[in-house]
Amino acid sequence: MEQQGRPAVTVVTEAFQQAAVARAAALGLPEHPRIAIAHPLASRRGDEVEKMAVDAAASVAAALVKR
Amino acid sequence: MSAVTARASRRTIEGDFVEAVRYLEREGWTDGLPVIPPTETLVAEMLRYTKRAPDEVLGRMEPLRGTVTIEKVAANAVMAGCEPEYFPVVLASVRAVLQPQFHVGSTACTTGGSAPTIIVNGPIARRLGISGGTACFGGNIKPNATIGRALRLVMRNLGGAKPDGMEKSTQAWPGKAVGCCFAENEARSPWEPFHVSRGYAREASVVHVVATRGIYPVTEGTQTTGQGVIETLVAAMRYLGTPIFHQMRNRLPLIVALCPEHAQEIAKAGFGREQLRDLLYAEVRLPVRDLIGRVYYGARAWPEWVDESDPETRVPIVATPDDIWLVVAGGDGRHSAWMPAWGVCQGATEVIEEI
Repeated sequence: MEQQGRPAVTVVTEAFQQAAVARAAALGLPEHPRIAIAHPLASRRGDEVEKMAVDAAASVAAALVKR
Repeated sequence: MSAVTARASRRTIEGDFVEAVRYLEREGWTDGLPVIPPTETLVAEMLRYTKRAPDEVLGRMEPLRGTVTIEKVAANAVMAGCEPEYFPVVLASVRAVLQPQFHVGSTACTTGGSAPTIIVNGPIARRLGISGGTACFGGNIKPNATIGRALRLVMRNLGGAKPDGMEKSTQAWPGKAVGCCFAENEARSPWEPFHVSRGYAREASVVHVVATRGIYPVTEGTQTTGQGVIETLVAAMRYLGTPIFHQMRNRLPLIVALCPEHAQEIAKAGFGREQLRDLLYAEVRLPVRDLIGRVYYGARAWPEWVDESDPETRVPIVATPDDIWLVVAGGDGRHSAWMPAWGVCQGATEVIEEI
């Protein structure tokens, strides 16, 4: 999306931060913004995930606007 | 990222063989086992077994998108210990994992620890000595071991998924180190070769490759009727701790590798490959009540027809009987196995290009 001119941000769990950095670099986007949320995600209930999304929303928005 | 070049770089290493091996280890280009240094001479010998040009680009290896050239594949095949005549099988396997529906980047990075399993069919298996017999999944048999390892080195060195980086397997399995390559035991199969059942000519040599989560063994050493063997197989595969039951819509294949004795008894009971696949599809199911709230329920990929309001709805292990790759493999004894594909890997097939 960023390469198409649309601001983007990647949300990853803490365990995948390093992988996200490597992948962004491989795609030629080393400055690509990244928001880390708690790990693990797969085992959480829907309402818990929703709360995590709400909690992360402000930092996601800030990362998009800053760029 | 550095500029894309179709030719591999050359390095001059001072010192003897052991120092060269240690140099390659320090560069992060090995899998933890020693490798053969890929000298120009050895790589050139490998390249004699393909008509393709050394600088031909086969694609980009995900996740870090390294450029896959014939020459770089050859260098990794040398490092893995392959004989030059194995190279067509290595190349076919690499071309298979580069097909988009293989999703090689996902298979390399997932916590699920999947690793490529290569099934070889056709005359080349006999000619090269790729074993489909005794200890074929891991018996220190040179072509099996080195072809599987070559594919893993290509994935690792060109795709870049390494521990402490994008390799995120929670545990992985030994196939992640050296792959898993075996031939179908066509000589002891009661049925036509697997590749023929999938529309290829009997004289063609073919690889089927899929990323699997591991090898799940099924022993049946008491029942000797085909029906009895099937019952044990079905019961063993109704296994809750694999996410494949939650991933049906992803069209994952499932390898079922019957040992020759089991296969022959099943055939004697009147089952062709197709009938057995249909039966496994019908019977290897878990009820919705067992699957709700467990394993990968949150990320389930079920088709519309799965009625979650009825706890007795039986969810099949794969989406269609065609997704069951039923092969005969192994030597004497009464041990079969199944290997579920992982995540989103739909597997891929390539014809081996011989010169």
